[in-house]
Amino acid sequence: MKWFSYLYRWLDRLILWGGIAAGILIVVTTGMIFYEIVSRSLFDAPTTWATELSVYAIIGSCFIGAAYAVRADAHIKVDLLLHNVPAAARRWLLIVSALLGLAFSLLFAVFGWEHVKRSMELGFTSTSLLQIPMYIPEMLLPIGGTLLCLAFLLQVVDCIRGGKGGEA
Amino acid sequence: MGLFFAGGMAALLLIGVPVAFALSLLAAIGLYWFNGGVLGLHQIPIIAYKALDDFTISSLPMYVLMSQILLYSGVGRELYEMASRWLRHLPGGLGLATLVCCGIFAAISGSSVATAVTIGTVAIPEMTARGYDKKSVLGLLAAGGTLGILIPPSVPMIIYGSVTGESVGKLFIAGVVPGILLLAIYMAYASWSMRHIKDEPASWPERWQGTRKAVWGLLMPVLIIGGIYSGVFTPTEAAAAGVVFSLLVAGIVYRSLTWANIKNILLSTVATNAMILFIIVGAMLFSFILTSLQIPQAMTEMATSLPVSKWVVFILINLLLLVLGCFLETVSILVITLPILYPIITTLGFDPIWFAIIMVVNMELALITPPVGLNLFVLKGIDPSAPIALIVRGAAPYAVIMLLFIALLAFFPGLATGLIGHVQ
Amino acid sequence: GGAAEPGGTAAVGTSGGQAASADGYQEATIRLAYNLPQDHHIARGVEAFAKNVTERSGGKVKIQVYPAGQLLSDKEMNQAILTGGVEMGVNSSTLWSSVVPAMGIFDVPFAFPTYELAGKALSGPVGQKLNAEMEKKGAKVLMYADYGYAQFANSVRPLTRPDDFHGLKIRSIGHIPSVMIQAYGAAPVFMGAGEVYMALQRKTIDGATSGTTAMVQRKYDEVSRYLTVVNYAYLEFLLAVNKQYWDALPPKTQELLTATARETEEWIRKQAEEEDKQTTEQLKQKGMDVYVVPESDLPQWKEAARPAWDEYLKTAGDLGKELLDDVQNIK
Ligand code: NA
Ligand code: NA
Repeated sequence: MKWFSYLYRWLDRLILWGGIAAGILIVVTTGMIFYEIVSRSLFDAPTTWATELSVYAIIGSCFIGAAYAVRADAHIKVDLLLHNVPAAARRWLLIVSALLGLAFSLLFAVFGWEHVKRSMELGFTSTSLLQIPMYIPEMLLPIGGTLLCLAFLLQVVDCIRGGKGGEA
Repeated sequence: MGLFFAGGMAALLLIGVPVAFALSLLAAIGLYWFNGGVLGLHQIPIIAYKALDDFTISSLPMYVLMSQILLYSGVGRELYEMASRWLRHLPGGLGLATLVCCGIFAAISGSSVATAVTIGTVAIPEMTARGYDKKSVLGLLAAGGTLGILIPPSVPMIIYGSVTGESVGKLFIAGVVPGILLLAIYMAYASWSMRHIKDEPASWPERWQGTRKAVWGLLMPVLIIGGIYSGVFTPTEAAAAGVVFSLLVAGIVYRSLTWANIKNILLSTVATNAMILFIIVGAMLFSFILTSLQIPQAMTEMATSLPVSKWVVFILINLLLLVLGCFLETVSILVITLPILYPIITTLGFDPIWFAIIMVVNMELALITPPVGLNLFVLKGIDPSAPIALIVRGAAPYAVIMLLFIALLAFFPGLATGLIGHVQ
Repeated sequence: GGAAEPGGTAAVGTSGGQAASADGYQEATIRLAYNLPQDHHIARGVEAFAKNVTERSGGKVKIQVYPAGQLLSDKEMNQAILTGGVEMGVNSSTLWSSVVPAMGIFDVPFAFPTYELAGKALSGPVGQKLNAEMEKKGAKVLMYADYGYAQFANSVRPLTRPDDFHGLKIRSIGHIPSVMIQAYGAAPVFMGAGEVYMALQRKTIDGATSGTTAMVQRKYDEVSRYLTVVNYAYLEFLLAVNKQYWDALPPKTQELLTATARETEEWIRKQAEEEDKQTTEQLKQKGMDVYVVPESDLPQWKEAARPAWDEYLKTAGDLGKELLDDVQNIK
């Protein structure tokens, strides 16, 4: 089982890196928009990229960071029932809800990849001056979806082992 | 079909599936069954991407980041110290000081939770040490914190603007008068209910010294509101200016940015941000399938053709929001109900900006109504020894004030819309 | 205002003749989404199109309309049409140019000097070539709905020649108009539609470009003083159908849709001219300082916008050049 706990730790770290990357995207967005304010108001030179790239960064911050939020138990849920059932039932509820989360994440990852492939085939670009190929920002969805799948799998493992996912 | 979605949603939420994933999963099932099978599933990434493909949304993570930085900065303590030196000798003086701090912080932060945490961390120990009873203190903070979303900037207003296309700038202006008025009403009630406690007045030099120390905290709302209304930045961009300013204050003035703090700030920002944005994604998927099946359209049709006064519909909407507010978190309520309520409201001829303020006050109420009230949980987090029931009882009088305040706004819509015409 | 919506069986053109009998249609429900306000002339045309198709097929071919961005906004409309998220949708040529670069031709400054010429081009080889290009990507064009000409509003000075743009910050849409704004010496600014009014009011930006119909609707007259009527781009919206879905429709239904669309297209084109005239007048009455660029000055404006032509040729390649030649050869 040594390889298993090694794999577990490695996946957990991967998700954490996703979280850090998401945080950096938020910081970078702040930097870009602040630069836009200064450049426009002091130097009369608005950028042609800050608005557009911020949107991509924020899309990334959500999808790449969502898996970390699963692991940090930050996604809001109604825990009325969870708090009022015996421990064994609570464990089953947690496993079932993690599996349901996994089900959506799988669809999200698979159809996200399909979407990216299609955008590549069609040659979709943004309609701005930058003409960014749309598959690049769209790629953030399946990457985030894949991380989400891993996060929900780890949640299931935690519940089965009675680890940190045990509390509601 | 409507029953399928309502029942499915209730079941998924009840067994503890996070709101974001309950919405998304149900939407995916709906897309598969009712919207062309696999073709329907291909819409998932398209709608999910679209949900966040909006520059207005990008201010949300920055407001979350700013709140986290300020929490570590110590600016809350300085503000509280200042306010208490000015107000502590009045009846219920520290209660007044706490509310004033909530008001000032609300003008910096876009979130109620951030307001309650930042001020609560400082005010709870101070007030209880001074003999204020715990129930009143916790109730005061739970309610005072909610001002964070009524006094601009405000995350729910940004979401309202993003979902409906109303101008975020106008929404912010519309929140000013109601925000200050509600603060004043809270202060009047707090002072009256805590009238038996007064402290020694502080000397004038003490007052001025406290004010000088709090100057950075006091400057922030001036910077944000001044920057927006002078046109230096748009309401969306204001968040970036706020982050940079709070970084400077936390890093240079208070020297509180250690590496450990930075990592904590970053990761808790990511977790909160992903939570909020993924709810928006889920709600967008959910409302796509509902709209495609013409469910909101049918409900609008029904609500607007009822043989009753439009005010009956208005009251029903408020009851719906009150009930949802007991069980759901505010971002979810906004994004789930707006696609249905907004057309009803505009069809009935209500002012959508005024209605935004009504919704925001309802969201304030949702933050302090059990069983699910984020501000209740936050205060429990600051003071783990306090039972939730105690906080609820402390906040109850303020909940009644909020309900009366909604009625006041209904009778005097000019409170919300009046200022918009004057700010030219 | 203007003429009533297209409709009434009498108005059905020659090709609609056979379709006038409601018998023999196969049942179908077609979802149609658009993202314009419901009182816009294109919206009114599209709603009438849906109603007429349903009526003329005796209720068999039902067009289910999702107005005003209710179901899809402009940004994800194309992908939804191409993947079958909806069967039909109305979206701007500018947004289609991100899939079919040649579609950017409507944004090329001064490529379509008159309403008549635009109509001729679209019913001639230009329309055919664009349609073929769209079909390659998976969308069948049913109708070109004219939005009207794009103009400039600003709060700094009257823009009487391209040099007057120098140093202004102008909210832009799409990439070819942005190149033109840059070529005139101004800086294109990108922001959400909901922020433009306040940005103009607070002088965060100096001006914006769009059709006068949109300027009236978004109350630009309250926040910017000068309007320059220069008709630089002929804004076009496309009613497109998912190609696979279209090919599977019975020929009789296809004919009905084509005929009704053609009739609506003509109505919208007339309406566009009328609306442009009326809304310009309204903006003037509301106190805007209107400057109409005289025809003799247009060559100068066109010449200064050369980089935008080059940009179009760069993205649209040989086909783009062919199309521009086609437009110029129309008499
Ligand atoms: Na606020
Ligand atoms: Na609640």
